[in-house]
Amino acid sequence: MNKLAIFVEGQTEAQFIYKLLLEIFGEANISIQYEQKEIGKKFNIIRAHNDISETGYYVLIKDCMGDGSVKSTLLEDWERLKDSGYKKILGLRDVYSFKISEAPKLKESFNKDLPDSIPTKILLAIHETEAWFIAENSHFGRIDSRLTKEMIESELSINVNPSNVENIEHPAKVLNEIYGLVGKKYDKKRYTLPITIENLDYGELYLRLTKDISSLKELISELDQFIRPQLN
Amino acid sequence: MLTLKKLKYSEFANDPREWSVEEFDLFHINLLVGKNATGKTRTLNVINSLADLLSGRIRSVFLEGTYSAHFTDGQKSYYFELIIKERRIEREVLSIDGNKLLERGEGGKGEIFAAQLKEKIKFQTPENELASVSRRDTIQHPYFEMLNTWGQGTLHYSFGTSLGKDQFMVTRSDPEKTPQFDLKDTGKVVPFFNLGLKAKGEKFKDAIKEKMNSIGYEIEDIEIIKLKGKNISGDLEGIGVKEKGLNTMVTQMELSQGMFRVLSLIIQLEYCRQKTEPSLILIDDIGEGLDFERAVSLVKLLVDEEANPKFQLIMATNDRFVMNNIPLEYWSLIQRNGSHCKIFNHKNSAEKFEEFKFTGLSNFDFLASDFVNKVVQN
Repeated sequence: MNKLAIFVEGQTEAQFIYKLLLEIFGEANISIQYEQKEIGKKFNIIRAHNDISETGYYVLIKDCMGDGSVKSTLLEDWERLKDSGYKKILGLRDVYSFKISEAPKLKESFNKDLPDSIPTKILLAIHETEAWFIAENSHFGRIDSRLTKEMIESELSINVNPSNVENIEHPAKVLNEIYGLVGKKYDKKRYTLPITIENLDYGELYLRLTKDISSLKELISELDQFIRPQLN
Repeated sequence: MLTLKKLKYSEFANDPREWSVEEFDLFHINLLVGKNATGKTRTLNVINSLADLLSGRIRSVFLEGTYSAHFTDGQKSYYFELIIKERRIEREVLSIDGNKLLERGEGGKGEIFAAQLKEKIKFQTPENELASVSRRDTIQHPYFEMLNTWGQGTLHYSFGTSLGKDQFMVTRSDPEKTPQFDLKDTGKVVPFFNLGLKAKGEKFKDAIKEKMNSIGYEIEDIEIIKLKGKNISGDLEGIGVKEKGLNTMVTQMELSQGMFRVLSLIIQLEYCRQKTEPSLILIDDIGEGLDFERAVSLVKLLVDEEANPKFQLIMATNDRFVMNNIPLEYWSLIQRNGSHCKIFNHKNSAEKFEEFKFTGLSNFDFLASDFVNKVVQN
């Protein structure tokens, strides 16, 4: 069994990764368990896909409920996961609230002193995961047909082309402004988040957008490397 | 309105009861963190005791304590010093921008600046009373008013306590006669709610409902209701809440402790605003008894909407969720060495605080990890 654990900072990232994994691995080939941190150190199972015994790949997504908690929780759980046969452990957090210019320093310092007897890495979304949602700009039309790239650019002067999204300072805020043009909102809440998550084209994100978005490319490369030995 | 900028305190020097906290800076928003028994609660109590003294709420001074406090009104700097020994004031000083306006020593004797006379005059007050309270005079000594207002507007909530869940209100035969309550008595949430409702009606209620909803408690209505039950004798009234999805009012006794604490705090802050603009809110054990989302939402509400920029906020916590959601810039990390406490923050330990941010670890780890020792050694 190939087991991978991914620690993320919130439900936005957890739900996004969940759908992305289904796209990359194929629904029949992967089992996923999404857990969320609760009071104390307890994790609750929020959602699961396939039984672990049914597939060749198992991914555990741990929602650490806070950007600062990703590395701390990963380190707390690392030994246990290694002993349970995990082949790889990843962390994913936003660069925000740091400055974009601090991303290289963050990448280095976040990964400093991580245990390395199994591949372990903390990845960054620049400047937030929502930048990737903006880059997948075809989803705006599925949310509301009035939301075209041209309309967004003329109303908000925001360039939603994939090559630009890593320059946006606060993508979650920009995403909310874009949805606001048609009276909708993006606020990371449990009830509104699925509107975005369900409308993204994960094939587009996986196959095409990595070309222009370095932080997404790094995440997908790590997932590809995990899957590749089996594919070959 | 004054803001407390620095404080230093000690008591019972060279005695087994000795305790002190070195001078530390305070900011607009502060989160006091430290391991158990390092002095968080005690530090809040010290600040509150100074406020009680300056407001005149405590007229006779207590056994012992040495305070030195720096305030600002945004333009001028105020320095207040008070030494109490064996229930007598040994020294009391007030200076503004370096000009000494009050200085008194033993025997209650001292000099005070009289604004209209434009000169310092001699005085003598009882040894156990603050001159800055007993000599209040808006014509000759108007500068005491700022200190008094600060003291009056300082409110202290212990979030880990019942916050009035077990206190009710006796139904009055004459509802027109409204008794007065001390805003600092944080157990009087039922009469505070009642008075707020009388003064502002639905507007007051709506403000409370909106804030409760923003924290994740879906409340449709809130009222004063008559309490019934086998353990209740006489005509007692309490707070009743109608939660979404329930057909009936739930009394304050039936609400969860965590939910009631939030409700009580919100009611009291809302009511307090009607009476006076608070200057400083002290909240001990913030987040105690709440789940992750509510603890975080409450703290966000306090930091982002309530305090900013209206009043200074000093909170103390042991709660991991609260710590992880309050930026390190607001942290005051307290360390105790024997009976002496020292507080570290981004101002006096800037390099270590900045270095920690780049580790990617949670704020809680700042307290739990070796970083604390590094900060202390630094």
